[in-house]
Amino acid sequence: MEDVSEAHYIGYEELVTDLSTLLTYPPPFIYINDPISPRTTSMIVDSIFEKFIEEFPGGSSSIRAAKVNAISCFSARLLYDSILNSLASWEAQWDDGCANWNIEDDGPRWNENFDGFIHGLHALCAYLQDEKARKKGKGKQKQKSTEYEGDDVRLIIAIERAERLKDNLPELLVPLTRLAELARIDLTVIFISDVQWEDIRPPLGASPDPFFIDVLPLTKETITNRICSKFSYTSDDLEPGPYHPSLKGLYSHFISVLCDVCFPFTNDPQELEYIAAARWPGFVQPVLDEHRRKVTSESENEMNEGDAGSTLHPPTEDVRMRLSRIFNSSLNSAMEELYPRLTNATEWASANQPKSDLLAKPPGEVMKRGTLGSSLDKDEGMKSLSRMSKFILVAAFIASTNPTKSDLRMFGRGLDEKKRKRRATKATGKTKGGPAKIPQRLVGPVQFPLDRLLAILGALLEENDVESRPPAPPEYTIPGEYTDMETGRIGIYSSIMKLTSMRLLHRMSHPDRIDGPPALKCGISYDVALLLAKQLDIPLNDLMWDPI
Amino acid sequence: MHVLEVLPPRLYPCLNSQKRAILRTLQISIHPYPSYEARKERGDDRTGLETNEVALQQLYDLISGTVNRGEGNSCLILGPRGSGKTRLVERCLLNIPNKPIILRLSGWTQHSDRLAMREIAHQLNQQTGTTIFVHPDDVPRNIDNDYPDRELNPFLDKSVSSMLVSSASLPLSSHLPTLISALPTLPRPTIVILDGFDLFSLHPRQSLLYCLLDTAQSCHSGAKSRGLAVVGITTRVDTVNLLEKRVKSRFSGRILRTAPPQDLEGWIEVAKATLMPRVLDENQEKSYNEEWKSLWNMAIEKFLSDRSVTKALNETFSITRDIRMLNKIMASLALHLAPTSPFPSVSQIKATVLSQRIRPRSPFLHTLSYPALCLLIASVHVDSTGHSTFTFEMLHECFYDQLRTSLSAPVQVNGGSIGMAFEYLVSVKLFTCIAPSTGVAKEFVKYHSVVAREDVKKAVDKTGQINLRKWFTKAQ
Amino acid sequence: MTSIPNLDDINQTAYYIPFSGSADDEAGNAISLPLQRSKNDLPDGDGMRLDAYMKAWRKTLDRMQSLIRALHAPVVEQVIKKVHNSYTNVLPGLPYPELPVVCITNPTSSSSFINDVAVRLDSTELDKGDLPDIPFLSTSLYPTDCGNITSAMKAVIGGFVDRPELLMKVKRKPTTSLASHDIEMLVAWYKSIRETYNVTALSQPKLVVIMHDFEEFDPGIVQDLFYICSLHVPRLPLVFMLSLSSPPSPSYLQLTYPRSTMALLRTHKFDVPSGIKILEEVVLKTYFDPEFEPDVMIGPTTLKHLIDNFTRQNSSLEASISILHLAHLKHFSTEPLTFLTQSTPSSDTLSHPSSFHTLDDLLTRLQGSAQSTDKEQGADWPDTIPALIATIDYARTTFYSRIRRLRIGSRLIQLVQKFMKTQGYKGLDWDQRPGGSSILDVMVDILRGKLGAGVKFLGTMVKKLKARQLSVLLEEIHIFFQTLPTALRSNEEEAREKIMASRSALPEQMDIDISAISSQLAESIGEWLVEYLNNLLRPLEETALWEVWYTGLSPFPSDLMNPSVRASMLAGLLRPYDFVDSDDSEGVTHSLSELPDTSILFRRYLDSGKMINVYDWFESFQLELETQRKHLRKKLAPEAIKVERGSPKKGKGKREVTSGGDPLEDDDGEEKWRVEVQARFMRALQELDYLGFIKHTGRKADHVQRIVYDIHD
Repeated sequence: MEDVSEAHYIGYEELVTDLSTLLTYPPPFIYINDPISPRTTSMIVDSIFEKFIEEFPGGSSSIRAAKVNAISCFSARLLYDSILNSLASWEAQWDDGCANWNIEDDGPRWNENFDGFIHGLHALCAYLQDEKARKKGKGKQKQKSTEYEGDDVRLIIAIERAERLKDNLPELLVPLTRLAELARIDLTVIFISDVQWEDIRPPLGASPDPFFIDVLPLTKETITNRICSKFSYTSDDLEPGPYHPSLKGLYSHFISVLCDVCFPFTNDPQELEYIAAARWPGFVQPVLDEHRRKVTSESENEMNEGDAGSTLHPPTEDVRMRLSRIFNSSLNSAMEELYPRLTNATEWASANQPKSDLLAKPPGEVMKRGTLGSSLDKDEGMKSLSRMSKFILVAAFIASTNPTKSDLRMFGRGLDEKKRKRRATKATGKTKGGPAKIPQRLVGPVQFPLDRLLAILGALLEENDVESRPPAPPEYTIPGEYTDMETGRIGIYSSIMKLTSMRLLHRMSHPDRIDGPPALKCGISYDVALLLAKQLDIPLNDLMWDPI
Repeated sequence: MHVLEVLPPRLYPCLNSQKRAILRTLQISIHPYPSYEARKERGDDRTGLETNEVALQQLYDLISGTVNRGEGNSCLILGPRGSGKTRLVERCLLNIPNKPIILRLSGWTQHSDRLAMREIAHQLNQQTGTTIFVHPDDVPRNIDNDYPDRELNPFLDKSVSSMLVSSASLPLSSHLPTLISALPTLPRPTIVILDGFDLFSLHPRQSLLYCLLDTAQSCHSGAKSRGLAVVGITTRVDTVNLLEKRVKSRFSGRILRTAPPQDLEGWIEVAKATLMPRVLDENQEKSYNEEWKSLWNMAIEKFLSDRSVTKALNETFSITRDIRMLNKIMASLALHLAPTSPFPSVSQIKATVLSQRIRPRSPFLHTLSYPALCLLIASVHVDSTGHSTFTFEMLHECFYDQLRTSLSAPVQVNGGSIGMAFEYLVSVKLFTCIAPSTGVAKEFVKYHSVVAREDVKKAVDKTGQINLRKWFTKAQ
Repeated sequence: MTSIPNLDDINQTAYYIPFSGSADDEAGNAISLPLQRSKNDLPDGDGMRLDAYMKAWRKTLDRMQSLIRALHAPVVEQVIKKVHNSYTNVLPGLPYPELPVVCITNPTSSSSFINDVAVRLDSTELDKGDLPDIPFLSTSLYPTDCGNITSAMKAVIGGFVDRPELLMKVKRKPTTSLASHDIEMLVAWYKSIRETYNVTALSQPKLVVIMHDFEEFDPGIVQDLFYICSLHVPRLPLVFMLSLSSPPSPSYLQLTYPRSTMALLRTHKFDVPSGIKILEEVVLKTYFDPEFEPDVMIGPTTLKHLIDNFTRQNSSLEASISILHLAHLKHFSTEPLTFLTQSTPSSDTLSHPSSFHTLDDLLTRLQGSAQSTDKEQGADWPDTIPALIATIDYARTTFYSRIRRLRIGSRLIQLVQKFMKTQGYKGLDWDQRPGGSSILDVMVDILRGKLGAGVKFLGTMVKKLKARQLSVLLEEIHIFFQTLPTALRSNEEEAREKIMASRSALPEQMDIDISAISSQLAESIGEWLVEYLNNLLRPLEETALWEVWYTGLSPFPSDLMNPSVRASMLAGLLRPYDFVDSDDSEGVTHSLSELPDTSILFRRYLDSGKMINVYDWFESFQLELETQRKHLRKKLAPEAIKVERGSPKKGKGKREVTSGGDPLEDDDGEEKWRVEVQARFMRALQELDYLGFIKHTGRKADHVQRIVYDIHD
């Protein structure tokens, strides 16, 4: 257990030493900033607390630490409750109605407001002193220790994701930072966050500046041996698993290669660990297969008994070379798919599992990459939409991208000539003075009224849908009248609503506003629109005011 | 004279106890309560700052007037942050005879008069066992049977009684005048300390302040009413102007000023006093042998006499005179003492000042991942085209143009990783969102980069990636 | 009556709760029946038709629903399995435990699938002791529950905790105990669950949170929700199940949620089957499957409309089902003879004088069909009621047998086509149809009887087959016949014998190709196949009384499903009486003054220019009302004296304008009248305004702008 915690400390030694020395006589307010992986930091802070408390003279009765999360404590009451409960190391029981910590049942409530919270802290201190005094009553050299420690009890309150306090509980930010002087007890508040104190500091210097501890980002080497040292033997007796001790050497090689590939993209140790966890089982599988075959063959021919063969030996150098030759290509793809979480480690691992007994095969053939998760194949995506919905989406994209004035140019028809007026040769590039115009598709979609959408939709249908739709009933004589009829139907509206509920369209105007048409906004990206247009064979680029 | 560089192992415990001692001193001097004796027995009242001594005397007179002669007094303690206002009050209260009722309110927690009143009631219940305005059904029960060992620790009774007043036992805000005006009738004189006095003046109609000051003004000495003193603490210079006329007219107008140490020597004295603490608990004494002491003192003398050290301290001093800043610097100095570098060094104090005083806006730029750096450069490019705000798509476009034109990107960035980098920059608030992002797709939210152009430049140079630097320099 | 309305289904916006009284008592509530009487109905023909309809539709609907359920079943299984071992065999070496999330993409956005899953999750009823067998505890979360993070957490926690059957609720003091939106409460609850039922770590029940309509949740809130929950796994074995309706790629999750959130989750994606294939599956197995026969067969027009609607408008099975539903309703409501669908009423009902209309309608139709196909029931003309009944029953059986054979034919032709494909020939051009190729289009052709050419073509292809291929084909056909239900198989005896014969006739040893035999054998088989198929696929219209069991070419009332708002609104304003009383007043045209106020105003609106002067408008309106009033005077002249004067009732339409028009007016009557006119004008104006015909532009004094132009009716 000890070495594991050591493994956790690798790369964070400075934080550990600083914090644990600081906690002997802590300043009232500490701010720990880890821009890379605050999650790791808070884990480490936890273990520091444990070690520190058990080593502390007087033990847990004279010092208590609590770590709460500013996201899960989204209301003041939750914050108070969870701080007090965990300071008192109190676990709410269902059977007594999840009562909070208190001196006695039907005691006062601590979670009403900040004053109540402070009273709670006082009560807790008194309670702890009382308990400690009882302890000392039992212990022999009582007065000695009294004059040693003094009778005060020290409380440590750590709040992680503290940047969220600014949004969730802004009114508590100042009191928390001044908690020590407000409560007038020996107490320290620690903020852990990945943003800088300057970003959440309340205005007018209302709260004192903290004592800063900055966690520096780890170097590649540190991360490498941090991950390597976490290599732990998961024990299953019948079969040597991928985390067999004698594979440690191979593992460290693997990790260093992996870090070489991935470090330029992320220096978050946890992410690299994640990718490693996804890739490693596939990486060692050939070795394990090899071993298994060896064992089985030995068990067949009985001449040498004794488990000499059945123990897994660390693989040889050239095996390592072959493995890395086979798998290095896949590391990059693992990075590309796992870091953005296009798929998760488990699925990726199973998808990119190498063929069994790879080492037995001639070295010529390499494994082929597994197929990605379904999230990548694009053209499958919009299949499920009905034809009309696709038209609506394309129309919405055009409406969101083209300036309104351009509609007449793009879609307007003269009575006589059938062909559309060409778009004017528009002045691209820098105009004198003023910044260059940025194409709309980069700035993002603009909102448009429903009527405009319907108009564009009508134009599109008239252009591209006449052939494939069921023939118009005879009573429609004027060109475009039938299309006009179609775009007025309930079905169109309902499918627009449906697309909105799918968030493929965004409704910008308030739902219960009845005067004027509702304002919408396109929710699909350019390439999705392009895809749809292709399916409907609409020449999208001709219809865009500034084509790509 | 030589200072040994690495510490012989036998002296490790000394070093550690030295560190602990320093930290302890710092903590004590931060904690208002015991600091007085601490400083007293350190005997360094020399650094105890003149103005504050004057103010202390005045405050003492005022309060003792209230306590002994039952006067009604009011005053305001005004001074910049960290100039020892609170400590002043505490020291004064310490040696006031036959201890009065002390009500401590803070503008930071009592946002409204109602809250303030509840707190007053609570503290009254706590200090005078009698519960005022308490609901009849929860009068404090007998505590002896609950805590038979009460006499073991003197803290218990106070806290227990504090626990027994429940939130139900609180007056309505209409009771405010009665409650306040009842203060002088209490068995002991009352001292009300209002921290963040200016904040109380923001409460509607300043009724709390009005009642307090009015009562203070109207309770005549000699009458059988006990005294009442209202002590306001604030850093705002114009606080008195914030008061409404009727309130201001009832305020005695007595303003006591506190000031931080006036001269650099004072600071250096403080620093020295911190680094060479007298107070040591006894198990530190054991390990605190003479050899170490001599080594240490020699080193400190040398350290403090170093010009760059004094320069660093001087800079700090000229920026802020907040004594807490000095404390923080000292603390982190002490933290970084290690067997390899047992004594504070110039480089250390430089680093310390950097980490505690002049915080660089974004220290980690050069350690950013490659895509993140690309995005930063792209943002500089966009900025140089005259757009101060940008969306992800814009940066992406810019980045890909660069990728297309110069085929010399060391690692091709495709897939999600660049988007991820963008999210990272947003999450550490290097890119700050400006427009409300409701109903806007992630990639179209408008952002603004807080990183200055030259910081990016420095970072790019630090990474030493040629093509990145090339690309960066293209932005004019 | 469509199905038992599931009132918990939030996706339904409205429910039709059918009239609960017994349908077949006398004409008092005949109006309340959804089917309207026609003149040649039986006395309670509408009631009988309603019963027939309910039987028929229920049968079909059950079939289709069971089919859909069968389609969903495998995916449901996978999902359940995934949820079940979401906390077992986790990949080792992960830096931190992930929160398992099952993400169900269900593009047809029907709630049926997720409901199936939910039912599976909560199927086991809970009483003490057998909790260890319960793999899941599930709760549902709806976007409306999650206005903010507090209510979201409260909903999640309450969904689990408020289950007295699991664990007695303990009375808690709200102030001094955990808040009901504190996840610690859930932790405590789960802990005590574990203790009370002492479950092992393996068999501990997963806590499944089903989030319906996931796209509608506020991402910010969901992020926090996920974060908070992920802090407590695996101590709390939570599993989130998201039902999305947006297309699977680009994935909504990826687009919307930041990496920091995605990194907390272990998402597994499942796609519910969707697309035209589903519709084909359901329709083929419902209407073109020998195993099942619905009471009423849908005609080609309805089927065509079904396909179009699915591919173009709304590709969800619910919509398709309701189209079929509507087709049934129309069939039974328009065709008076449909009371004969399942059974023929007894002779005395028919001989009852009140049913003569029906009888001669019947007879005329029988006659019509008799001329076309008299060979079938021969010369015996039904002159007595029993004979008539017999004829009807005979007609029913013949129709059903015919349609059975049609189904067999369709299957057979599909089989041959498939065989040709597998043999590498191109077969019929079923895929190269314009506008989406679907096997259903083929079915449409079959029903239209347009497949003759295709059959002939297949025949010629069969003739060209080699011996080996021929044997394979025969083998398949044989198997096909074997798999038929016995009843049908017996009808196709001679075809089977033919197959047998030709199989035996095939030379055993294929390798030496005796081309002569095989080719002429192929020849004969080809001939036979064409003849046989054509026989099978004879059009249904040939049978007598087919219109009872077959919707045929009757057009589908698509405007009922998918009306045009604008058009119907204008029509309503222009021709209000078409909506008031449907049947009699078709030809009648009403003069302007007879129209309701709003219509009058609207007509004038149409006459006006871009900007309308409100006062002119009012005057024209007043003019119309005056003429209206004159007409009224004429009408009321005789009893004008008796008309008591009373303040005119406000309202629209000419009926309300009773007492205003009194011949002998005095001034206050005039005064009243003027006030009334003004009031009615204002009201009509307001209505047009509310309907959005008017735009108030402050540009010109007392003018409003006209919005709707060029109405051509």
